[in-house]
Amino acid sequence: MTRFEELLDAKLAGELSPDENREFAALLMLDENRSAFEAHEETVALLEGVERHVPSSSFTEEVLARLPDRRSRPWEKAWDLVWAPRTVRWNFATAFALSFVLVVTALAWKTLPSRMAVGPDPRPVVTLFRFSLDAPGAQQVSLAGEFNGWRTDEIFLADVTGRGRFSVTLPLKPGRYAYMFVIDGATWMTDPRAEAYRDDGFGNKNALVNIAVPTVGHGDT
Amino acid sequence: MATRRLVGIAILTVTALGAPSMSRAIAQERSKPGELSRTLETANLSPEGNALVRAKGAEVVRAGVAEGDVASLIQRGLARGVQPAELARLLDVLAQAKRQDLPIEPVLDKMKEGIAKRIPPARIAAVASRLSGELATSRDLVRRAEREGIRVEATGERERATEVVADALGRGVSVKEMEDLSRQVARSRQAATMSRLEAGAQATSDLVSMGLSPREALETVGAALSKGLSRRDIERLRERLAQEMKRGESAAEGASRLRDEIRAERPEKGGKPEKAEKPEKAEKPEKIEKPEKPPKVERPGR
Repeated sequence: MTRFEELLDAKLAGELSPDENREFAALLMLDENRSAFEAHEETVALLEGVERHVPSSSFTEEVLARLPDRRSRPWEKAWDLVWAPRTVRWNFATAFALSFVLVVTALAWKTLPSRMAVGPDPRPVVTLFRFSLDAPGAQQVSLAGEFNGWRTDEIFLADVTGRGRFSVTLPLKPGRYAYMFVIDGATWMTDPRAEAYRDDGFGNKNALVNIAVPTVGHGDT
Repeated sequence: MATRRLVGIAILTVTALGAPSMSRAIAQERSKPGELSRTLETANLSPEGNALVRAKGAEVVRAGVAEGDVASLIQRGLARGVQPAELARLLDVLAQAKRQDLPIEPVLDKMKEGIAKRIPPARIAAVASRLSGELATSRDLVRRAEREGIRVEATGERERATEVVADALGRGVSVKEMEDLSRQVARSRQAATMSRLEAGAQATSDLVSMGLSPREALETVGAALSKGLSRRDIERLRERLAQEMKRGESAAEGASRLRDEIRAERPEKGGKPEKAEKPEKAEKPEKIEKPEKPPKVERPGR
């Protein structure tokens, strides 16, 4: 590169010192340098007249997307999938729909847990407990208690031996339950072999079953 | 490009249409409106009776009781021949309990029990009302316990403790005795938790139901608390007393022996020792007979 070309570069970049400016002016006296300088000036003027196009923010990604697919290894593709920078385009419709979904999800989230039982363990372990009663002569024995809202028509004991020994096995969550047997749908009877009893307030005694430990405690009344 | 746009539009349309439906479905599922009306429509009641029960039922629902629970109670009452005025009285008790912010499950359960046992409704109302009173006393006691430093560590602990303390009160344990228990739990600093108060109250109730006087029961539970026994070991006091009684001792004698055993136990055996009280130096602890293992019951289908 000649000295004139160096100075010309600096001149076009606007970086000439006063001394260099004087030197550049002196060199312009030569016809060859003047015509080169004028050609550059024309080019600059021409470029300034051209309308400028601002590329979109996704210009690079779009160009890259149109390039022929390089055959890369799967792990490289996965890496690119995770780490390649992306531009997210949005519009008001999408933003509105997304907000709507978020609001509904939040409402649903707020509503649903209130319908579920709250407890320290979301999946309480149940213990199988066998209730049994010797009731020779009884046609039907049912079990009613706090575990079934005292319904008398829900849990029936079976007399598998045919000798009046009725029994049923129930899965119970940890807790304490009062219960009684109902013989032939009419006579309420306290379990004579219960581990504990409690006055029911109505003049009878409820039997109590205590399911204290989830992992053990299979019992037999 | 056109396909992607179509897919996008389809997703947005489905979301926009589906979200309100889902939201509505959740709301409907939550409140189940009309359950009370449906129950009363099918009931064979006089117009006056129907109007009375409907008005009382709506009042209870407004107080905050789930409509399904109210409808279920009415349905059972009517099935057992409970008259509208008597049902209205029961619903009054329920509404009053709810307005006092008491846990209503025990009250509702007691009413269901009474109806199932064909107890005269006036008596059911009296028993449920007494239970509400015990729950109110218990709730105040639990609140005081909290102010005195007993910590609530999990959701529902306060309600469970309220129910268990009310149960103890119903068995004849006095408020003062329950306050003593609460103070003993509060003294245990790190172990001063609501779940421990609940376990203590439960164990006291258990021991009373086995024939101990409330004072003796409290003394026994107090020994376990002072020794820093774990919650599980406190819950096992009932089994241990049963073991003592199997040896032919009376409940009082068994409890006395049990207290001696607890006081002689090494703290680490029962759980974390309390800082407030050092373990006593005593004779070698007596070996406690393990309870018999009940027969294993197979799960059906296995």
